Amino acid sequence: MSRRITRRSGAAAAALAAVLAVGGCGLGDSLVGLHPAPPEETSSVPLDTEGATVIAARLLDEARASATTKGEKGEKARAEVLSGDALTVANAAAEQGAADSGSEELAPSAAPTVITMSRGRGWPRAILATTLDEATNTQSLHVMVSETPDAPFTIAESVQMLGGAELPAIGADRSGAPLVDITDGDALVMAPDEAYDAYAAAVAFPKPEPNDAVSTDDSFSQALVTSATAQQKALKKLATLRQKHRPDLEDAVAFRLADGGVVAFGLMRRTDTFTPAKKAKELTLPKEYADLLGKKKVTDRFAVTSLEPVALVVPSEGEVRLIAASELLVSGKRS
Amino acid sequence: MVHVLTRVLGALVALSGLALAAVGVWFATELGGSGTATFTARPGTADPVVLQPDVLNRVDAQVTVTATPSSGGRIWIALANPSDAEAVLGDARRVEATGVSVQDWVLRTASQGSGDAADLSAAELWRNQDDGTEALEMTVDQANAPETVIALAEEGTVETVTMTVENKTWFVEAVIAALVGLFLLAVGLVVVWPRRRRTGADAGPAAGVTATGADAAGPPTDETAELEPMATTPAEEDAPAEHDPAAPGDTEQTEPHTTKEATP
Repeated sequence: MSRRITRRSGAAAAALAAVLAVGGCGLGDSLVGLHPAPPEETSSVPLDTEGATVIAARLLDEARASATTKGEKGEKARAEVLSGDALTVANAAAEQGAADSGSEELAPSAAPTVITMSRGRGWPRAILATTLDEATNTQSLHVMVSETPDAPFTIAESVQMLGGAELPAIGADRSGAPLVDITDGDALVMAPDEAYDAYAAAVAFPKPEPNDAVSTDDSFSQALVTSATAQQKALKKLATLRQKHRPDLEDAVAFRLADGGVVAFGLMRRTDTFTPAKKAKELTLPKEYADLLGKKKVTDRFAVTSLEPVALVVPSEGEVRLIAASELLVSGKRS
Repeated sequence: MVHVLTRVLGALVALSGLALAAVGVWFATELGGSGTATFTARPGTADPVVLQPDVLNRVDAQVTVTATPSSGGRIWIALANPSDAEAVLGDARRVEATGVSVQDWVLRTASQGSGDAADLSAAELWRNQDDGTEALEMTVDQANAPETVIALAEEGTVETVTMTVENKTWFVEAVIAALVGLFLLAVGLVVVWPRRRRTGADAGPAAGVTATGADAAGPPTDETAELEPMATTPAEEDAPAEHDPAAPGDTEQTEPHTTKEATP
């Protein structure tokens, strides 16, 4: 009899314990499927590819829309979608009336393809995208940058790829590519800013300074040498041409490549200085120089300046090489 | 003492079962067959209203946030990485969802920060965004968790923010809870008030009855029944277990007995 009572008491106690267990100590949370929110993965790209593509397409559309507008209105419109070197080049192109030819990087209306994004959740952030102009089969690279959390992206760099050039593998979709300080040469053959200096020296005219770590075996440098040589030949001994490239890397952007190298986007300013010989009476200028200098003929030394947005690949071993470049004649000066 | 303890435990079980059944029925009614839980806040503010992952991403089901502007107002709603949302909001004044209350289906909120927020819609860190003059929905897919939702009135105020979670399992669990509660209630009642011995012709023999008859062992006597005082209380008896009609030596009863009659 007492055993039956004990059994009944035990059953009641067990039932009560079950009730308390269900209601207590967070077991209820588990029953209804509540769990802590997962932690944020902060080492991946900040945007999905679809979102980045929308941003890139919008910027390219707006940049094209304001590309040819001159004056303050045009500069204001361009400043909303462009920044850094791309803004410098676009403003110069608009003022020279060369927007159609000088900003060909922005001309293709094809939808952009996002190649990668900067890794992590910090700022600045960058999107590297490409467009293909099917008419000329020319591919362009565009770097869009957002400097602060509340600042929209702007196109900071835009440059045409050279025929046959390749951009090495760069961060996979979700992991992205870390941004690299252009003065950071860690694990590279040289720092990106040094690479720009070395490349600029290597393509100088008439006295290039070759560098074993820098390749000038690209169509851009070959075109520079060819045109400078032809120009000097045309001048005969009536004038001399000196061509110098000066890197302007204040707004340069660089991404880490998958193999540890870096692809850097920056600007070089090329100055072509013409010095007439004493026996030269005058020099007759081509139209584009005459427009910049305001004279068709000159007797004194003069210089014309071109903007050269370029992209260099700086490897961890091997040679620095150029993969993208374009040029735009922007100003002239008599001395 | 054990008897009292048993009854107390039984009462507790019965009460717990009753409570569980009531809660189960209430939840099943509120959630409906689709298991939809809707929590609403009425911030009525021009400041950003922020729903963090500890509100949005604690379940595996899809969560829908609906923001409604005040009459004639315009609203903007966006989805972002939590760290991005924090970065762009900074220490700006905002109304932040802190949790939910199922008692009144309220999305609990609290005001935080100071100063005006930056131009949120100009920033380009949103995974998704929308704006309009009507109520806008933003769906939070748990595959992309954690995420933060921000609603901001571009004109007027954010009248209401509603968070809806649909999980059919919750309805099933509510029904199960109701059934378990009813079961516990029944168990508790049985423990508190055990079954009393039945009365009438088909009732089993009462304890303490000794019957004799022709088939009984020993010399035959007159077919009479002899009543003995009961040694136990009725509540402690378990008549069917005590009596085995097939047991040898049992004989027919000469008279029906009730416990009451048998008890002195």
